[in-house]
Amino acid sequence: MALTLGLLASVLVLLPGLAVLAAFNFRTRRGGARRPELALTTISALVMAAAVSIVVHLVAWAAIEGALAFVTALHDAYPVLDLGPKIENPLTSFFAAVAGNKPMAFSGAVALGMVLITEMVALVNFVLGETFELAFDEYDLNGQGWVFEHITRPAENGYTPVGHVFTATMSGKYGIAYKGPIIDIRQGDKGEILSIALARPERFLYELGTFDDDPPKKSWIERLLPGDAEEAEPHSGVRHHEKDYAGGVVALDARVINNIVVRSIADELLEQIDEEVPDEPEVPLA
Amino acid sequence: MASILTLGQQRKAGTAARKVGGYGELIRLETERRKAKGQGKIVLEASTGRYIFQPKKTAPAS
Repeated sequence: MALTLGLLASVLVLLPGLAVLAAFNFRTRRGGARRPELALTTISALVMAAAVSIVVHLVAWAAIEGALAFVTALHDAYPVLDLGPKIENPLTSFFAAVAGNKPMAFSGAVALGMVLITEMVALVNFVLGETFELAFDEYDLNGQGWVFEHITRPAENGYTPVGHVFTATMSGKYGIAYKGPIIDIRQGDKGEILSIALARPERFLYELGTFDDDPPKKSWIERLLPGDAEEAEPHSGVRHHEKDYAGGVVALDARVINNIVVRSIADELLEQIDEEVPDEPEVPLA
Repeated sequence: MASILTLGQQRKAGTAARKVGGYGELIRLETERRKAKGQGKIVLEASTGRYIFQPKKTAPAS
């Protein structure tokens, strides 16, 4: 067999494995914050393509053998059903042709094309499906670290990650902070944050320091419950001031970021608010 | 780069935050929702003027 034809034949043999790699790269790129172009290395990709191809061809070959045996038995039982001559297992004749023994018949080539397409469709469906998702649920395939656990996974599983980004203080005491859903986060080679982008954020002033005029901020439910009155004691902490909606997208570079806090909100709650809370009157900002 | 949320999700989160009065309120509602195990509804509390997640009334475990 000529070299070019041999190359084409080996690509055809490896086609199911290549389809798996393409689907895998597509899905990991979607959630990849770090070097998405290197979702799989070359060697592991080759090994994976070959292994998957062998397994899938074996399964397809067995399935075709079974189907052929079934229709032959059906024809033997009911000779009235006759849809033409029996074809050879297309995978058998394909590998015979690749090995250079004999050319494939036209019907065999058509059947081979159909088998390959079916294999690819099945594999791509499997990789993009939920079974695969569950199998690799806990593996951080892109090496994203905490971003994977707190941003990527929640976002892919029905949660909206809301980030509080505190920028560096100008005077050592006051600084500007943003609060909003994280839409983009980039990491460098070593996993450090390069930048973060928030959609429709709130912007507010925060203050670091020692406060002695009011007790520590309690949650609203604690304030409602009767309890012993806190004595005003000097304490250090952070205080949030008036906020406003910045709107649009705010992208913050790592140089100005002091701290990031991420909380996840279930999309179900957002849906519920969308349905149950009326648009007007709007609650005034606290 | 990775776009983590679609435009629709961004819009939904932004609108929900404005409706209840900010992302802080949204996070508080989510905490309450988790405590109530997701069963309940959002009601406007008249005394404070804030939205709270009211757990669904369940029969007391005798």
